Amino acid sequence: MASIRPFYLTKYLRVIASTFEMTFRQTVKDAFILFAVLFQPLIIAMLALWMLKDKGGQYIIFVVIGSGMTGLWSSLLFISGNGITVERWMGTLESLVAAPTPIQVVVIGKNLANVLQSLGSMVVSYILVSFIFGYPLSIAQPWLFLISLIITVVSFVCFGIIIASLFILNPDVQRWQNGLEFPVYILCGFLFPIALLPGWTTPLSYLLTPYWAALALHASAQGTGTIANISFAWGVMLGYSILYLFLSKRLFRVILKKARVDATLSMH
Amino acid sequence: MNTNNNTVIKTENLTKCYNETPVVNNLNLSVYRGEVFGILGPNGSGKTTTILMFLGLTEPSGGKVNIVGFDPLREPLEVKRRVGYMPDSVGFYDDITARANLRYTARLAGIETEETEKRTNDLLTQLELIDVADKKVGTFSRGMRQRLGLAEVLLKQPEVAILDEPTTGLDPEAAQEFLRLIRGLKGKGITILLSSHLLHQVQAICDRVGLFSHGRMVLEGTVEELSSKVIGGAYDLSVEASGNDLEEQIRKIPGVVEVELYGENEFHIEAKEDVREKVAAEIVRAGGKLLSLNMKRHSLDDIYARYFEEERDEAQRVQANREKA
Repeated sequence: MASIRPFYLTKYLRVIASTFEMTFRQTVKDAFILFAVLFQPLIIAMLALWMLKDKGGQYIIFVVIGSGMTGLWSSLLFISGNGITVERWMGTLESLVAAPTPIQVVVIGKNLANVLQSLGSMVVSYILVSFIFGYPLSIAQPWLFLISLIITVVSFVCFGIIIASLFILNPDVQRWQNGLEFPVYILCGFLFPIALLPGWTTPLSYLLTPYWAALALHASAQGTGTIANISFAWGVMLGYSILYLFLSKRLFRVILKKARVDATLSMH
Repeated sequence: MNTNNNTVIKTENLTKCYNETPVVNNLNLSVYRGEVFGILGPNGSGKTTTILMFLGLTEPSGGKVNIVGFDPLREPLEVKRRVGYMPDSVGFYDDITARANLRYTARLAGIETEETEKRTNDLLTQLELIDVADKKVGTFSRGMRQRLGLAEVLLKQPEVAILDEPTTGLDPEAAQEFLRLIRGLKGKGITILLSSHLLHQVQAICDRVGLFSHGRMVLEGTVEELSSKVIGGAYDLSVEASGNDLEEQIRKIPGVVEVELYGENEFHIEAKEDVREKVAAEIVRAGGKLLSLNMKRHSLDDIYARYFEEERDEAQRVQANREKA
Protein backbone atom coordinates (compact mmCIF):
# COMPACT_ATOMS: atom_id res chain seq x y z
CA MET A 1 0.00 0.00 0.00
CA ALA A 2 2.95 2.32 0.62
CA SER A 3 3.61 2.50 -3.13
CA ILE A 4 0.15 3.94 -3.85
CA ARG A 5 0.31 7.55 -5.02
CA PRO A 6 -1.97 10.11 -3.29
CA PHE A 7 -4.13 10.45 -6.42
CA TYR A 8 -4.82 6.74 -6.45
CA LEU A 9 -5.34 6.63 -2.68
CA THR A 10 -8.10 9.28 -2.94
CA LYS A 11 -9.62 7.52 -5.92
CA TYR A 12 -9.51 4.14 -4.20
CA LEU A 13 -11.03 5.54 -1.00
CA ARG A 14 -13.91 6.90 -3.07
CA VAL A 15 -14.37 3.51 -4.74
CA ILE A 16 -14.36 1.85 -1.30
CA ALA A 17 -17.02 4.34 -0.10
CA SER A 18 -19.18 3.74 -3.20
CA THR A 19 -18.83 -0.03 -2.98
CA PHE A 20 -19.67 0.16 0.72
CA GLU A 21 -22.86 2.07 -0.09
CA MET A 22 -23.85 -0.27 -2.94
CA THR A 23 -23.21 -3.39 -0.86
CA PHE A 24 -25.02 -2.01 2.16
CA ARG A 25 -28.08 -1.08 0.10
CA GLN A 26 -28.23 -4.60 -1.30
CA THR A 27 -27.54 -6.57 1.87
CA VAL A 28 -29.65 -4.58 4.30
CA LYS A 29 -32.77 -6.25 2.90
CA ASP A 30 -31.30 -9.71 2.28
CA ALA A 31 -33.11 -12.32 4.39
CA PHE A 32 -30.15 -14.72 4.62
CA ILE A 33 -27.80 -11.95 5.70
CA LEU A 34 -30.26 -10.65 8.27
CA PHE A 35 -30.55 -14.16 9.66
CA ALA A 36 -26.77 -14.68 9.77
CA VAL A 37 -25.89 -11.37 11.38
CA LEU A 38 -28.94 -10.69 13.53
CA PHE A 39 -31.11 -13.69 14.37
CA GLN A 40 -28.47 -16.39 14.69
CA PRO A 41 -26.34 -14.36 17.16
CA LEU A 42 -29.53 -13.52 19.01
CA ILE A 43 -30.37 -17.21 19.44
CA ILE A 44 -26.78 -17.91 20.53
CA ALA A 45 -26.97 -15.02 23.03
CA MET A 46 -30.23 -16.31 24.52
CA LEU A 47 -28.85 -19.84 24.94
CA ALA A 48 -25.63 -18.50 26.51
CA LEU A 49 -27.60 -16.24 28.84
CA TRP A 50 -29.63 -19.14 30.15
CA MET A 51 -26.47 -21.16 30.70
CA LEU A 52 -24.47 -18.35 32.35
CA LYS A 53 -27.15 -16.26 34.03
CA ASP A 54 -25.97 -17.17 37.53
CA LYS A 55 -22.36 -16.19 36.88
CA GLY A 56 -22.81 -12.43 37.28
CA GLY A 57 -22.54 -9.20 35.26
CA GLN A 58 -19.06 -9.71 33.80
CA TYR A 59 -20.17 -12.97 32.20
CA ILE A 60 -23.20 -11.27 30.74
CA ILE A 61 -21.09 -8.68 28.88
CA PHE A 62 -18.94 -11.63 27.75
CA VAL A 63 -22.07 -13.11 26.20
CA VAL A 64 -23.00 -9.84 24.49
CA ILE A 65 -19.55 -9.41 22.96
CA GLY A 66 -19.25 -13.10 22.16
CA SER A 67 -22.58 -13.38 20.35
CA GLY A 68 -21.68 -10.22 18.44
CA MET A 69 -18.43 -11.87 17.42
CA THR A 70 -20.37 -14.88 16.11
CA GLY A 71 -22.31 -12.51 13.85
CA LEU A 72 -19.07 -10.94 12.66
CA TRP A 73 -17.52 -14.30 11.88
CA SER A 74 -20.65 -15.64 10.11
CA SER A 75 -20.78 -12.50 8.01
CA LEU A 76 -17.11 -12.84 7.13
CA LEU A 77 -17.37 -16.52 6.28
CA PHE A 78 -20.60 -16.54 4.29
CA ILE A 79 -21.04 -13.03 2.92
CA SER A 80 -17.52 -11.71 2.41
CA GLY A 81 -16.33 -15.20 1.47
CA ASN A 82 -18.91 -15.37 -1.31
CA GLY A 83 -18.46 -11.74 -2.36
CA ILE A 84 -16.69 -12.41 -5.67
CA THR A 85 -18.74 -15.51 -6.44
CA VAL A 86 -21.96 -13.52 -6.08
CA GLU A 87 -20.64 -10.90 -8.54
CA ARG A 88 -19.98 -13.75 -10.96
CA TRP A 89 -23.54 -15.09 -10.53
CA MET A 90 -24.99 -11.62 -11.15
CA GLY A 91 -22.91 -11.20 -14.29
CA THR A 92 -21.22 -8.08 -12.91
CA LEU A 93 -17.78 -9.60 -12.37
CA GLU A 94 -16.65 -9.04 -15.96
CA SER A 95 -17.57 -5.38 -15.76
CA LEU A 96 -15.84 -5.01 -12.39
CA VAL A 97 -12.66 -6.60 -13.70
CA ALA A 98 -12.88 -4.51 -16.88
CA ALA A 99 -13.06 -1.31 -14.78
CA PRO A 100 -9.84 0.67 -14.28
CA THR A 101 -9.78 -0.08 -10.54
CA PRO A 102 -8.08 -3.11 -8.98
CA ILE A 103 -10.65 -5.69 -7.91
CA GLN A 104 -9.12 -5.87 -4.41
CA VAL A 105 -10.24 -2.29 -3.77
CA VAL A 106 -13.82 -3.29 -4.59
CA VAL A 107 -13.57 -6.32 -2.31
CA ILE A 108 -12.35 -4.12 0.58
CA GLY A 109 -15.44 -1.90 0.16
CA LYS A 110 -17.74 -4.91 0.11
CA ASN A 111 -16.14 -6.47 3.19
CA LEU A 112 -16.28 -3.20 5.08
CA ALA A 113 -20.02 -2.99 4.48
CA ASN A 114 -20.51 -6.60 5.55
CA VAL A 115 -18.41 -6.30 8.69
CA LEU A 116 -19.99 -3.01 9.81
CA GLN A 117 -23.46 -4.38 9.12
CA SER A 118 -22.67 -7.44 11.20
CA LEU A 119 -21.75 -5.24 14.17
CA GLY A 120 -25.51 -4.92 14.38
CA SER A 121 -25.47 -8.34 16.03
CA MET A 122 -23.59 -6.85 18.99
CA VAL A 123 -26.15 -4.06 19.27
CA VAL A 124 -29.05 -6.54 19.09
CA SER A 125 -27.47 -8.72 21.80
CA TYR A 126 -26.96 -5.63 23.97
CA ILE A 127 -30.63 -4.64 23.57
CA LEU A 128 -31.73 -8.18 24.37
CA VAL A 129 -29.65 -8.39 27.51
CA SER A 130 -30.32 -4.87 28.83
CA PHE A 131 -33.91 -4.29 27.95
CA ILE A 132 -35.43 -7.75 27.74
CA PHE A 133 -33.46 -9.64 30.39
CA GLY A 134 -32.88 -6.46 32.43
CA TYR A 135 -29.16 -6.88 33.17
CA PRO A 136 -27.27 -3.65 33.89
CA LEU A 137 -24.43 -3.55 31.36
CA SER A 138 -21.39 -1.36 31.20
CA ILE A 139 -18.15 -1.36 29.27
CA ALA A 140 -15.29 -1.27 31.76
CA GLN A 141 -12.72 0.43 29.51
CA PRO A 142 -14.75 2.24 26.81
CA TRP A 143 -11.83 3.87 24.95
CA LEU A 144 -9.87 0.66 24.81
CA PHE A 145 -13.04 -1.11 23.72
CA LEU A 146 -13.65 1.42 20.92
CA ILE A 147 -10.08 1.14 19.62
CA SER A 148 -10.33 -2.66 19.86
CA LEU A 149 -13.55 -2.55 17.87
CA ILE A 150 -12.03 -0.37 15.11
CA ILE A 151 -8.96 -2.62 14.82
CA THR A 152 -11.26 -5.66 14.82
CA VAL A 153 -13.18 -4.21 11.87
CA VAL A 154 -9.92 -3.57 9.98
CA SER A 155 -8.59 -7.05 10.66
CA PHE A 156 -11.88 -8.73 9.74
CA VAL A 157 -12.05 -6.77 6.46
CA CYS A 158 -8.52 -7.92 5.60
CA PHE A 159 -9.22 -11.51 6.70
CA GLY A 160 -12.33 -11.44 4.46
CA ILE A 161 -10.19 -10.68 1.40
CA ILE A 162 -8.10 -13.77 2.05
CA ILE A 163 -11.19 -15.93 2.55
CA ALA A 164 -12.86 -14.61 -0.63
CA SER A 165 -9.74 -15.19 -2.70
CA LEU A 166 -9.22 -18.70 -1.29
CA PHE A 167 -12.83 -19.62 -2.04
CA ILE A 168 -12.43 -18.41 -5.62
CA LEU A 169 -9.11 -20.15 -6.13
CA ASN A 170 -10.26 -23.42 -4.71
CA PRO A 171 -13.99 -24.20 -4.74
CA ASP A 172 -13.24 -27.33 -2.68
CA VAL A 173 -12.31 -25.08 0.24
CA GLN A 174 -15.65 -23.30 -0.14
CA ARG A 175 -17.41 -26.61 0.50
CA TRP A 176 -15.99 -26.50 4.04
CA GLN A 177 -17.73 -23.19 4.65
CA ASN A 178 -20.46 -24.58 6.92
CA GLY A 179 -17.95 -26.72 8.77
CA LEU A 180 -15.75 -23.72 9.52
CA GLU A 181 -18.42 -21.70 11.31
CA PHE A 182 -18.69 -23.30 14.75
CA PRO A 183 -15.05 -24.46 15.25
CA VAL A 184 -13.94 -20.82 14.95
CA TYR A 185 -16.54 -19.74 17.55
CA ILE A 186 -14.93 -22.23 19.92
CA LEU A 187 -11.26 -21.83 18.94
CA CYS A 188 -11.43 -18.05 19.18
CA GLY A 189 -13.11 -17.96 22.56
CA PHE A 190 -16.18 -16.05 21.45
CA LEU A 191 -18.48 -17.50 24.13
CA PHE A 192 -16.10 -19.06 26.65
CA PRO A 193 -12.36 -18.69 27.31
CA ILE A 194 -10.02 -20.92 25.33
CA ALA A 195 -8.44 -21.96 28.63
CA LEU A 196 -11.29 -24.46 28.84
CA LEU A 197 -10.08 -26.15 25.64
CA PRO A 198 -7.30 -28.80 25.40
CA GLY A 199 -3.82 -27.24 25.32
CA TRP A 200 -3.02 -28.42 21.80
CA THR A 201 -5.74 -26.14 20.35
CA THR A 202 -4.10 -22.95 21.70
CA PRO A 203 -1.57 -22.48 18.84
CA LEU A 204 -4.47 -22.83 16.38
CA SER A 205 -6.29 -20.03 18.18
CA TYR A 206 -3.22 -17.80 17.99
CA LEU A 207 -3.19 -18.16 14.19
CA LEU A 208 -6.71 -16.76 13.87
CA THR A 209 -7.24 -13.01 13.93
CA PRO A 210 -10.79 -13.40 15.40
CA TYR A 211 -9.15 -14.87 18.53
CA TRP A 212 -7.14 -11.69 19.11
CA ALA A 213 -10.21 -9.60 18.35
CA ALA A 214 -12.25 -11.55 20.90
CA LEU A 215 -9.43 -11.24 23.43
CA ALA A 216 -9.16 -7.44 23.08
CA LEU A 217 -12.92 -6.88 23.06
CA HIS A 218 -13.66 -9.19 25.99
CA ALA A 219 -10.78 -7.81 28.08
CA SER A 220 -11.65 -4.14 27.48
CA ALA A 221 -15.38 -4.72 28.01
CA GLN A 222 -14.92 -6.69 31.22
CA GLY A 223 -11.97 -4.65 32.46
CA THR A 224 -9.93 -7.80 32.93
CA GLY A 225 -7.03 -6.85 30.66
CA THR A 226 -4.06 -4.53 31.05
CA ILE A 227 -3.21 -1.95 28.39
CA ALA A 228 -0.13 -4.05 27.63
CA ASN A 229 -1.99 -7.26 26.79
CA ILE A 230 -4.81 -5.47 24.96
CA SER A 231 -2.34 -3.48 22.87
CA PHE A 232 -0.45 -6.70 22.17
CA ALA A 233 -3.68 -8.09 20.72
CA TRP A 234 -4.07 -4.91 18.62
CA GLY A 235 -0.50 -5.35 17.35
CA VAL A 236 -1.13 -8.96 16.37
CA MET A 237 -4.38 -8.00 14.58
CA LEU A 238 -2.66 -5.18 12.68
CA GLY A 239 0.28 -7.43 11.86
CA TYR A 240 -2.07 -10.09 10.51
CA SER A 241 -3.95 -7.41 8.54
CA ILE A 242 -0.75 -6.29 6.80
CA LEU A 243 0.11 -9.93 6.12
CA TYR A 244 -3.39 -10.56 4.71
CA LEU A 245 -3.17 -7.50 2.44
CA PHE A 246 0.24 -8.61 1.22
CA LEU A 247 -0.97 -12.16 0.60
CA SER A 248 -4.23 -11.02 -0.99
CA LYS A 249 -2.34 -8.91 -3.54
CA ARG A 250 -0.53 -12.04 -4.64
CA LEU A 251 -3.60 -14.25 -4.43
CA PHE A 252 -5.61 -11.89 -6.62
CA ARG A 253 -2.77 -11.83 -9.13
CA VAL A 254 -2.96 -15.64 -9.23
CA ILE A 255 -6.78 -15.54 -9.50
CA LEU A 256 -6.78 -13.07 -12.40
CA LYS A 257 -3.97 -14.92 -14.16
CA LYS A 258 -5.89 -18.19 -13.77
CA ALA A 259 -9.10 -16.54 -15.01
CA ARG A 260 -7.21 -15.15 -18.02
CA VAL A 261 -5.64 -18.47 -18.90
CA ASP A 262 -8.78 -20.56 -18.36
CA ALA A 263 -11.25 -17.84 -19.43
CA THR A 264 -13.38 -18.53 -16.37
CA LEU A 265 -14.20 -14.93 -15.50
CA SER A 266 -17.73 -14.90 -16.83
CA MET A 267 -18.79 -18.42 -15.87
CA HIS A 268 -22.12 -18.04 -14.13
CA MET B 1 4.38 -3.95 -33.22
CA ASN B 2 3.90 -1.37 -35.97
CA THR B 3 0.78 0.68 -35.52
CA ASN B 4 0.01 4.03 -37.06
CA ASN B 5 -2.05 6.77 -35.43
CA ASN B 6 -5.11 5.61 -37.27
CA THR B 7 -4.99 2.02 -36.05
CA VAL B 8 -6.68 1.48 -32.70
CA ILE B 9 -6.67 -2.31 -32.58
CA LYS B 10 -3.94 -4.41 -34.14
CA THR B 11 -3.19 -8.07 -33.73
CA GLU B 12 -0.35 -10.16 -35.10
CA ASN B 13 -0.78 -13.92 -35.23
CA LEU B 14 -2.95 -13.75 -32.13
CA THR B 15 -3.66 -17.27 -30.90
CA LYS B 16 -5.50 -18.78 -27.97
CA CYS B 17 -5.54 -22.49 -27.23
CA TYR B 18 -7.39 -24.49 -24.62
CA ASN B 19 -5.81 -27.89 -24.02
CA GLU B 20 -3.80 -27.41 -27.20
CA THR B 21 -6.97 -26.87 -29.26
CA PRO B 22 -6.86 -23.45 -30.92
CA VAL B 23 -10.01 -21.38 -30.39
CA VAL B 24 -8.42 -18.32 -32.01
CA ASN B 25 -5.88 -19.18 -34.65
CA ASN B 26 -3.25 -16.73 -35.95
CA LEU B 27 -5.52 -13.73 -36.08
CA ASN B 28 -4.17 -10.73 -37.98
CA LEU B 29 -6.53 -7.81 -37.73
CA SER B 30 -6.45 -4.02 -37.88
CA VAL B 31 -9.32 -1.83 -36.79
CA TYR B 32 -9.10 1.85 -37.67
CA ARG B 33 -10.11 4.91 -35.71
CA GLY B 34 -13.77 5.84 -36.04
CA GLU B 35 -14.95 2.75 -37.90
CA VAL B 36 -17.57 0.19 -36.93
CA PHE B 37 -15.99 -3.23 -37.26
CA GLY B 38 -18.03 -6.41 -36.93
CA ILE B 39 -16.56 -9.68 -35.72
CA LEU B 40 -19.13 -12.06 -37.11
CA GLY B 41 -19.57 -15.78 -37.06
CA PRO B 42 -21.50 -18.61 -35.45
CA ASN B 43 -21.40 -19.39 -31.74
CA GLY B 44 -18.11 -21.00 -30.78
CA SER B 45 -16.16 -19.44 -33.63
CA GLY B 46 -13.79 -17.55 -31.29
CA LYS B 47 -15.39 -14.10 -31.25
CA THR B 48 -15.71 -13.65 -27.49
CA THR B 49 -12.26 -15.08 -26.81
CA THR B 50 -10.83 -12.57 -29.27
CA ILE B 51 -12.61 -9.72 -27.50
CA LEU B 52 -11.43 -10.90 -24.08
CA MET B 53 -7.85 -10.93 -25.38
CA PHE B 54 -8.28 -7.33 -26.58
CA LEU B 55 -9.26 -6.36 -23.04
CA GLY B 56 -6.55 -8.35 -21.28
CA LEU B 57 -9.22 -10.52 -19.67
CA THR B 58 -7.91 -13.62 -21.42
CA GLU B 59 -4.26 -14.35 -21.99
CA PRO B 60 -3.15 -15.17 -25.54
CA SER B 61 -1.26 -18.42 -26.09
CA GLY B 62 0.73 -16.70 -28.82
CA GLY B 63 1.01 -13.59 -30.95
CA LYS B 64 0.54 -9.95 -30.07
CA VAL B 65 -2.29 -7.54 -29.49
CA ASN B 66 -2.18 -3.77 -29.24
CA ILE B 67 -5.19 -1.67 -28.38
CA VAL B 68 -5.17 2.15 -28.34
CA GLY B 69 -1.38 1.95 -28.23
CA PHE B 70 -1.13 -0.36 -25.22
CA ASP B 71 -0.53 -4.02 -24.56
CA PRO B 72 -3.59 -5.12 -22.55
CA LEU B 73 -1.60 -7.67 -20.57
CA ARG B 74 1.21 -5.33 -19.56
CA GLU B 75 -0.83 -2.15 -19.14
CA PRO B 76 -4.36 -3.34 -18.34
CA LEU B 77 -5.43 -0.21 -16.45
CA GLU B 78 -4.42 2.06 -19.38
CA VAL B 79 -6.54 -0.07 -21.71
CA LYS B 80 -9.47 -0.21 -19.26
CA ARG B 81 -9.44 3.60 -18.99
CA ARG B 82 -9.78 4.01 -22.76
CA VAL B 83 -11.89 1.04 -23.78
CA GLY B 84 -15.53 0.41 -22.85
CA TYR B 85 -16.77 -3.16 -22.82
CA MET B 86 -20.28 -4.57 -22.79
CA PRO B 87 -20.30 -8.35 -22.18
CA ASP B 88 -22.78 -10.59 -23.99
CA SER B 89 -24.64 -11.18 -20.76
CA VAL B 90 -24.47 -7.76 -19.21
CA GLY B 91 -25.08 -7.82 -15.45
CA PHE B 92 -26.34 -5.16 -13.05
CA TYR B 93 -27.22 -4.82 -9.40
CA ASP B 94 -30.90 -5.59 -9.86
CA ASP B 95 -32.08 -4.24 -6.50
CA ILE B 96 -30.58 -0.84 -7.28
CA THR B 97 -31.85 1.84 -9.67
CA ALA B 98 -30.44 2.44 -13.13
CA ARG B 99 -29.05 5.78 -12.01
CA ALA B 100 -27.31 4.24 -8.98
CA ASN B 101 -25.80 1.51 -11.17
CA LEU B 102 -24.41 4.16 -13.51
CA ARG B 103 -23.06 6.23 -10.61
CA TYR B 104 -21.24 3.18 -9.29
CA THR B 105 -19.74 2.45 -12.69
CA ALA B 106 -18.61 6.08 -12.89
CA ARG B 107 -16.98 5.84 -9.49
CA LEU B 108 -15.10 2.69 -10.53
CA ALA B 109 -13.91 4.57 -13.62
CA GLY B 110 -12.66 7.43 -11.42
CA ILE B 111 -15.07 10.06 -12.77
CA GLU B 112 -15.68 13.10 -10.54
CA THR B 113 -19.09 13.47 -8.86
CA GLU B 114 -20.29 16.55 -10.77
CA GLU B 115 -19.20 15.11 -14.09
CA THR B 116 -20.87 11.81 -13.17
CA GLU B 117 -24.23 13.50 -12.65
CA LYS B 118 -23.98 15.37 -15.95
CA ARG B 119 -22.91 12.33 -17.97
CA THR B 120 -25.46 10.08 -16.28
CA ASN B 121 -28.35 12.42 -17.09
CA ASP B 122 -27.13 12.98 -20.66
CA LEU B 123 -26.76 9.26 -21.34
CA LEU B 124 -30.05 8.28 -19.73
CA THR B 125 -31.74 10.87 -21.94
CA GLN B 126 -29.83 9.88 -25.07
CA LEU B 127 -30.60 6.20 -24.55
CA GLU B 128 -34.24 6.91 -23.70
CA LEU B 129 -33.99 5.62 -20.14
CA ILE B 130 -34.54 8.89 -18.30
CA ASP B 131 -38.14 8.01 -17.41
CA VAL B 132 -37.03 4.79 -15.70
CA ALA B 133 -33.77 6.14 -14.28
CA ASP B 134 -34.96 5.79 -10.70
CA LYS B 135 -36.51 2.36 -11.12
CA LYS B 136 -34.76 -0.84 -10.02
CA VAL B 137 -32.90 -2.54 -12.86
CA GLY B 138 -34.50 -5.86 -11.90
CA THR B 139 -37.74 -4.60 -13.46
CA PHE B 140 -36.10 -3.78 -16.82
CA SER B 141 -36.74 -5.61 -20.10
CA ARG B 142 -33.85 -7.13 -22.02
CA GLY B 143 -33.81 -4.15 -24.40
CA MET B 144 -33.66 -1.67 -21.54
CA ARG B 145 -30.84 -3.61 -19.90
CA GLN B 146 -28.88 -3.55 -23.16
CA ARG B 147 -29.35 0.22 -23.42
CA LEU B 148 -28.24 0.62 -19.82
CA GLY B 149 -25.21 -1.54 -20.64
CA LEU B 150 -24.41 0.80 -23.51
CA ALA B 151 -24.77 3.77 -21.14
CA GLU B 152 -22.22 2.14 -18.80
CA VAL B 153 -19.82 1.74 -21.71
CA LEU B 154 -20.23 5.35 -22.82
CA LEU B 155 -20.02 6.80 -19.33
CA LYS B 156 -16.23 6.87 -19.37
CA GLN B 157 -16.19 8.39 -22.87
CA PRO B 158 -14.08 5.61 -24.35
CA GLU B 159 -11.96 5.77 -27.48
CA VAL B 160 -13.11 2.26 -28.33
CA ALA B 161 -16.39 0.56 -27.44
CA ILE B 162 -16.40 -3.24 -27.58
CA LEU B 163 -19.85 -4.81 -27.62
CA ASP B 164 -20.17 -8.57 -27.41
CA GLU B 165 -23.36 -9.90 -29.06
CA PRO B 166 -25.26 -6.69 -28.28
CA THR B 167 -28.49 -7.66 -30.05
CA THR B 168 -28.82 -11.23 -28.83
CA GLY B 169 -32.16 -11.81 -27.14
CA LEU B 170 -33.70 -8.62 -28.46
CA ASP B 171 -36.84 -8.66 -30.57
CA PRO B 172 -36.31 -7.38 -34.16
CA GLU B 173 -37.64 -3.92 -33.38
CA ALA B 174 -35.52 -3.51 -30.24
CA ALA B 175 -32.49 -4.88 -32.11
CA GLN B 176 -32.89 -2.34 -34.92
CA GLU B 177 -33.33 0.44 -32.38
CA PHE B 178 -30.21 -0.66 -30.53
CA LEU B 179 -28.21 -0.84 -33.75
CA ARG B 180 -29.38 2.66 -34.64
CA LEU B 181 -27.99 3.87 -31.32
CA ILE B 182 -24.68 2.13 -32.00
CA ARG B 183 -24.47 3.66 -35.44
CA GLY B 184 -25.06 7.06 -33.85
CA LEU B 185 -21.86 6.62 -31.81
CA LYS B 186 -19.81 6.59 -34.97
CA GLY B 187 -20.62 10.26 -35.42
CA LYS B 188 -19.05 10.93 -32.04
CA GLY B 189 -15.71 9.55 -33.17
CA ILE B 190 -15.86 6.36 -31.11
CA THR B 191 -14.40 3.27 -32.72
CA ILE B 192 -16.83 0.40 -32.33
CA LEU B 193 -16.03 -3.26 -32.41
CA LEU B 194 -19.00 -5.52 -32.10
CA SER B 195 -19.44 -9.24 -32.33
CA SER B 196 -22.54 -11.04 -33.48
CA HIS B 197 -23.77 -14.32 -34.86
CA LEU B 198 -26.74 -12.51 -36.41
CA LEU B 199 -24.98 -11.54 -39.61
CA HIS B 200 -27.92 -10.03 -41.44
CA GLN B 201 -28.77 -7.84 -38.44
CA VAL B 202 -25.46 -6.07 -38.05
CA GLN B 203 -24.25 -5.85 -41.65
CA ALA B 204 -26.11 -2.58 -42.15
CA ILE B 205 -24.12 -0.74 -39.48
CA CYS B 206 -20.64 -2.22 -40.02
CA ASP B 207 -18.09 -0.38 -42.15
CA ARG B 208 -16.03 -3.56 -42.33
CA VAL B 209 -16.50 -7.08 -41.04
CA GLY B 210 -14.35 -10.08 -40.24
CA LEU B 211 -16.04 -13.44 -40.67
CA PHE B 212 -14.89 -16.01 -38.14
CA SER B 213 -15.06 -19.76 -38.35
CA HIS B 214 -13.42 -22.28 -36.03
CA GLY B 215 -11.10 -19.67 -34.57
CA ARG B 216 -9.92 -18.32 -37.91
CA MET B 217 -10.87 -15.06 -39.54
CA VAL B 218 -11.68 -16.44 -42.95
CA LEU B 219 -12.81 -13.23 -44.64
CA GLU B 220 -12.30 -9.55 -43.96
CA GLY B 221 -13.48 -6.40 -45.71
CA THR B 222 -16.58 -4.44 -46.61
CA VAL B 223 -19.71 -6.38 -47.44
CA GLU B 224 -19.25 -5.42 -51.12
CA GLU B 225 -15.64 -6.61 -51.12
CA LEU B 226 -16.58 -9.92 -49.53
CA SER B 227 -19.48 -10.36 -51.88
CA SER B 228 -17.20 -9.73 -54.84
CA LYS B 229 -14.54 -12.06 -53.47
CA VAL B 230 -16.82 -14.96 -52.55
CA ILE B 231 -19.80 -14.74 -54.86
CA GLY B 232 -18.02 -13.08 -57.74
CA GLY B 233 -20.40 -10.16 -57.96
CA ALA B 234 -21.41 -7.67 -55.41
CA TYR B 235 -24.74 -7.06 -57.13
CA ASP B 236 -27.46 -9.55 -57.82
CA LEU B 237 -30.07 -8.69 -60.45
CA SER B 238 -33.28 -10.45 -61.23
CA VAL B 239 -34.58 -9.52 -64.70
CA GLU B 240 -37.73 -10.57 -66.49
CA ALA B 241 -37.53 -9.81 -70.20
CA SER B 242 -38.65 -11.30 -73.49
CA GLY B 243 -36.60 -11.23 -76.66
CA ASN B 244 -34.14 -13.20 -78.72
CA ASP B 245 -30.62 -14.03 -77.66
CA LEU B 246 -30.80 -11.76 -74.62
CA GLU B 247 -28.62 -14.02 -72.44
CA GLU B 248 -25.63 -13.59 -74.79
CA GLN B 249 -26.15 -9.83 -75.08
CA ILE B 250 -26.34 -9.31 -71.33
CA ARG B 251 -23.25 -11.46 -70.76
CA LYS B 252 -21.25 -9.01 -72.93
CA ILE B 253 -22.06 -6.02 -70.70
CA PRO B 254 -18.90 -4.85 -68.84
CA GLY B 255 -19.17 -5.70 -65.12
CA VAL B 256 -21.44 -8.68 -65.59
CA VAL B 257 -19.92 -11.81 -64.05
CA GLU B 258 -22.55 -14.46 -64.55
CA VAL B 259 -25.93 -14.81 -66.27
CA GLU B 260 -28.34 -17.66 -65.67
CA LEU B 261 -31.64 -18.18 -67.43
CA TYR B 262 -34.59 -19.57 -65.51
CA GLY B 263 -37.54 -20.67 -67.59
CA GLU B 264 -38.13 -18.62 -70.74
CA ASN B 265 -37.90 -15.02 -69.61
CA GLU B 266 -36.24 -14.82 -66.20
CA PHE B 267 -32.57 -13.97 -65.90
CA HIS B 268 -30.38 -14.00 -62.83
CA ILE B 269 -27.38 -11.69 -63.22
CA GLU B 270 -24.35 -11.34 -60.96
CA ALA B 271 -22.34 -8.18 -61.47
CA LYS B 272 -19.34 -6.39 -59.99
CA GLU B 273 -21.07 -3.06 -60.23
CA ASP B 274 -24.52 -1.59 -60.56
CA VAL B 275 -25.41 -2.50 -64.17
CA ARG B 276 -29.16 -1.93 -64.05
CA GLU B 277 -29.09 0.93 -66.52
CA LYS B 278 -26.83 -0.93 -68.95
CA VAL B 279 -28.95 -4.10 -68.80
CA ALA B 280 -32.16 -2.16 -69.42
CA ALA B 281 -30.54 -0.32 -72.32
CA GLU B 282 -29.16 -3.55 -73.84
CA ILE B 283 -32.52 -5.31 -73.67
CA VAL B 284 -34.21 -2.40 -75.43
CA ARG B 285 -31.37 -2.15 -77.98
CA ALA B 286 -31.69 -5.88 -78.75
CA GLY B 287 -35.38 -5.39 -79.45
CA GLY B 288 -36.50 -7.13 -76.30
CA LYS B 289 -39.20 -6.20 -73.87
CA LEU B 290 -38.22 -5.43 -70.25
CA LEU B 291 -40.93 -6.69 -67.91
CA SER B 292 -39.23 -6.22 -64.52
CA LEU B 293 -35.82 -5.54 -63.03
CA ASN B 294 -34.90 -5.98 -59.38
CA MET B 295 -31.55 -5.69 -57.69
CA LYS B 296 -30.55 -7.18 -54.36
CA ARG B 297 -27.23 -6.84 -52.62
CA HIS B 298 -25.85 -10.04 -51.12
CA SER B 299 -26.30 -10.42 -47.45
CA LEU B 300 -23.52 -11.61 -45.19
CA ASP B 301 -25.53 -14.76 -44.64
CA ASP B 302 -25.36 -15.46 -48.40
CA ILE B 303 -21.63 -14.75 -48.44
CA TYR B 304 -20.98 -16.91 -45.39
CA ALA B 305 -23.06 -19.78 -46.72
CA ARG B 306 -21.43 -19.59 -50.17
CA TYR B 307 -17.93 -19.44 -48.70
CA PHE B 308 -18.40 -22.59 -46.68
CA GLU B 309 -20.20 -24.32 -49.54
CA GLU B 310 -17.13 -23.70 -51.70
CA GLU B 311 -14.77 -24.70 -48.91
CA ARG B 312 -16.69 -27.93 -48.42
CA ASP B 313 -16.70 -28.66 -52.16
CA GLU B 314 -12.95 -28.02 -52.31
CA ALA B 315 -12.34 -30.35 -49.36
CA GLN B 316 -14.43 -33.04 -51.03
CA ARG B 317 -12.47 -32.59 -54.30
CA VAL B 318 -9.16 -32.91 -52.45
CA GLN B 319 -10.42 -36.00 -50.65
CA ALA B 320 -11.64 -37.55 -53.91
CA ASN B 321 -8.28 -36.87 -55.60
CA ARG B 322 -6.44 -38.43 -52.69
CA GLU B 323 -8.61 -41.51 -52.86
CA LYS B 324 -7.96 -41.79 -56.63
CA ALA B 325 -4.22 -41.45 -56.12
